Amino acid sequence: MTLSDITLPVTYDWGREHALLFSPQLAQRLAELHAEYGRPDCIAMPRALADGRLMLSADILTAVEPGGWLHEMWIHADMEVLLPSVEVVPIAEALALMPQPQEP
Amino acid sequence: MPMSPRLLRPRQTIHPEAADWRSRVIANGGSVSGTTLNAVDRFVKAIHAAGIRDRFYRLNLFCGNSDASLAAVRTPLFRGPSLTGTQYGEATDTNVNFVAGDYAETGAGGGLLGNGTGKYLNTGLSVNDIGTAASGHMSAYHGQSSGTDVNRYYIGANDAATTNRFYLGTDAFASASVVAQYGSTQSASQTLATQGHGPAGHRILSRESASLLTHYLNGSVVATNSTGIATSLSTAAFAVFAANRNGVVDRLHNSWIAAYSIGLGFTGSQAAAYRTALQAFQTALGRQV
Repeated sequence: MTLSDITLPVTYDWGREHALLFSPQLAQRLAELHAEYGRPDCIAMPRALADGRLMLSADILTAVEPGGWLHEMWIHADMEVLLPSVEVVPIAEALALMPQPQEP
Repeated sequence: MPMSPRLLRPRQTIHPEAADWRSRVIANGGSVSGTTLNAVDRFVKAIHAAGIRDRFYRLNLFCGNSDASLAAVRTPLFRGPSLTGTQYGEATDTNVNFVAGDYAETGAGGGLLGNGTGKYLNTGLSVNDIGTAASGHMSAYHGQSSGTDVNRYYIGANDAATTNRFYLGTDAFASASVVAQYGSTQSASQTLATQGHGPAGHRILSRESASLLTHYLNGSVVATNSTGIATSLSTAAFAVFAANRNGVVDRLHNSWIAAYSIGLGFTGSQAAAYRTALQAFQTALGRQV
C-alpha cells in the first residue's frame, strides 16, 4: 500500500499504528521543500531503517491538513511523485527494521 | 450606602513571570485558559517563595490549549535564571515530529506523548549556557516507558567528549536502570527489575557539587554518588524525550512527559520545594502521579 491508496484526512489513532517508508532520495526532496516552505521550529525528521529506507510515523499526516504545521510544504509537493513513492505499513513492520539499540 | 464587599476584596494579581509566559504563548500563536494560567501562577509564586527561582535555566510545564503547531506547549515558562536577565536556548522548544494529537493538557497521562521512534524536542540550551557543570539539575515529570533491550531517555546531551554525559532515562537491558549522570560517567542510577523501565513520576537529578550527585523520584532519594569528578562544560544542546549525543539524537522515550527543567543543582530541601510546587501544578491539571 502507498500513500496513493490513502484517503486524507487520516485519524491520529490510525496514524500512530502505521508508518511511512520512503527512499533517501525522496527524503532529500522533502528536506528541500521543508527548507523552502516549512517552519524552523517544527521539523519532520525521518529515522533511518536497517534496510536503508527512512521512516516517519504516519500520524505526521495529521499535520498536513489546513492549519497544520506541514501544510505549506505539503501543498507544494509534487503529488504525482510523492504519493506512489511512500509505502504505508503497520508500525510493527517498521519497528522490526529499526537498527538494533546500543547498550549504555 | 455601605461599600460593596467586592470592592474590599483584594484583587488577585498574576505574577509577572506567569503573565509573561501567557503573553509569549499568545505571541507564538497559542492560547491559555484561565484555569491553567492560575495553576501556572501558583507554581511560579511557590518557586519564588521557596527561593529557588535562580535554579532554573529552562522549565516547560507542557500546558496551554492545544493547537495545530503545539505553540503553547512548546513555550517554556522559564528560559533563564530570572525573567529580566539573559534568556537561553530557543524561544520555543523545537518540535521534531510531534503532532497536535500527541498533546493532552489535562487528565492522567496528559502532557506530550512520545513514540520512541522519532518524536523529541530540541531545547537549544547547553551546559555551556549554564556556565558550570559542578552544579546542575535535570528533571522530568514522566510516564513509564516500555520495550525490551532499549534506551528510553527523558533528557540527555553529550558532546564530542563522550564521557561528559548528561543523561536521565531508562536503559532497559538485562541490568535495567534509570541512568542518571551529570558531567561524567559517574552515575546515581536507580536499579530496576530485569528488563524494567523507570516508574512514572517526578524525577530530579541534582548535582549539588563536583562530589555529590543525588537522584530523586517523587521526593525520595533513590540513588546518590559522592565520587568527585573533574567537571567540564558541554556544548551539546539538551534534547527532551531523547539524548542528543554529539548531534545524533536517539534513545527516544515512548511514554508521556508532563514537564521538564534544566538548570543549577538543588539541595535536598530545594528539591523538596520544587517537588511540592510541581506536584500541586500537575494535580491542578489532573495529571498527577
